[in-house]
Amino acid sequence: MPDELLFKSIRELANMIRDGQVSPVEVTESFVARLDELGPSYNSVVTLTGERALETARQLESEIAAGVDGGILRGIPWGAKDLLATSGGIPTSWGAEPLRDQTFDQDATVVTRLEAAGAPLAAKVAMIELAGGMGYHQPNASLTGPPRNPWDRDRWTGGSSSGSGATVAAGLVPFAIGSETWGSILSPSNNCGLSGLRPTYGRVSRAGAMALCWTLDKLGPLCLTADDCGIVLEAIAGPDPNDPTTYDQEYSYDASLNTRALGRKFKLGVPKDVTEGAQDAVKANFEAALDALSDVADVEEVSLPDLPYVPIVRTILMVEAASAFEDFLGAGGPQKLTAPEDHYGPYARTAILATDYVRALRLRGVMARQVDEVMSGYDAFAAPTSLTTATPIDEQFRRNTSGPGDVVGAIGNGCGLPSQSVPSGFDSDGMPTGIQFMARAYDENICIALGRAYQERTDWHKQHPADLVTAGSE
Amino acid sequence: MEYSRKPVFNVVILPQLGGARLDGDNKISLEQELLFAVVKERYGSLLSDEQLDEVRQSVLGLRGFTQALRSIPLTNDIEPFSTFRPYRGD
Repeated sequence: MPDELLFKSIRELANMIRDGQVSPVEVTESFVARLDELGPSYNSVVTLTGERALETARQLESEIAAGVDGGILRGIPWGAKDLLATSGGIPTSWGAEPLRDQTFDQDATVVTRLEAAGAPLAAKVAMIELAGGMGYHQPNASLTGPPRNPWDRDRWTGGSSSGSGATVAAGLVPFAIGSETWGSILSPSNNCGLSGLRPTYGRVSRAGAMALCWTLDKLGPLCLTADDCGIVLEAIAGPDPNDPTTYDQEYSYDASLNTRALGRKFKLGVPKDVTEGAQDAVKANFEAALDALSDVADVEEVSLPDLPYVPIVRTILMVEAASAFEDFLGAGGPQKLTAPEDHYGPYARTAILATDYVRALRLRGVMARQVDEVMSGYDAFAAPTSLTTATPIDEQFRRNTSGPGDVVGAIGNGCGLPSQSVPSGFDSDGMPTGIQFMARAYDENICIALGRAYQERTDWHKQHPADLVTAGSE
Repeated sequence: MEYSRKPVFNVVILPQLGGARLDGDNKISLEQELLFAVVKERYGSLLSDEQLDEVRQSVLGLRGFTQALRSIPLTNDIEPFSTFRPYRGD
């Protein structure tokens, strides 16, 4: 791959294509070759879709030659988490060995929209089997093997959008689409040092995406910059008759939103005790990140309403996942999965009473209203994206916890709120940390603006694994 | 077709009740054991003894969530946070 294409943002690549410095076919060929060569090193690719990508790129070149205007994503290759359906005989494995050869007749709406925007689909990228919905405890839970982190191949990427994280962090694609039910976009963004956006629930159509939990699943981008996340979100968002839960308003990315446009500083709330239990580096980098934003954001500590956030959201997730895979469970499908704990993990969830599930749904409304009332006094909440950096690839990451658990994650996913994660530094082992900005429903532009403001003041997002920064490393 | 009635529970838990009243944690533990028995009845043939023991531990572990959810009083007017809309295809 030519050095000038490596680790360039979408906006930078788009400018190069627009100015004729490089063609969509050249860009696509370069990234497909890099995916093919380096993808296996990170267990990050399930299926290369190079032919399909090049077909899209060649069509774009014809359009460019004919003077047809195109959008910013024209000629920018991307990777799709392998739970997004693809037609044309391209498998969609959901990361699961027993579904390795599964195919669909239609493309997921997100795939259709990105290709319509001119973005060539270069690969179906790895993921934790069934999006982690069977309760995995450790990284070796995918048909492609344990997902390896480009910053240290002996650490894991986070999940379940593991390949979406690894491929972007290794410079194998400029961006990828992941999904989040609870943590699956933000966790790989944190562990791989990326900018990841979890959109508001319903902002992006789930049509054609594997369902893990109908009322929690969201699709969103993992990119090199917060600005890129806004660009991709605009292309994939919007109402879709094939997904009745989509929000009925179109989304328009506002790349100019800043304190000047607002006419004031941002107001950030930091939930009380949000760094409790965090690694020292996570805590230090979070505090430094807030300091870096001090000229554009006022920060206040916030007390959250006293509610059982984690039990509410875990109950909804467990019951809906058990239902979504009920036939799979009944057929003994979990026994064929990769992680031993996934062989039995989902069965206990079938023991949750219907009244407890409905109670969780009722409490979800209480939670959504009370949290929104608190958030209405702020532009966004800020919190560490994760309390830890990436853990070793052969170590369990999910242990019994006596603490409150991931309260910010429970609130964000349970209430369906958008959150932008951006890299905030490194720990002493050189592993990335992240900060997230979580806003009220449908305020993605606020989250992204905060991420952009932070990235204008820092260069963490411009740092990449040392062995991957030149094409010559291949 | 002949209908054969199969016992729902093939467990030793029910006799343990012994007509006694159980309160608090014991009551919830019993509930979890009964719920595990349902899972075992439904899926036991698909799981090894070791796996069933893991499932049992997980079912018992759900007790904390159950207690947390049920500890919040909810008045009759608090509906599930999801909307049902009647469907008409034309």
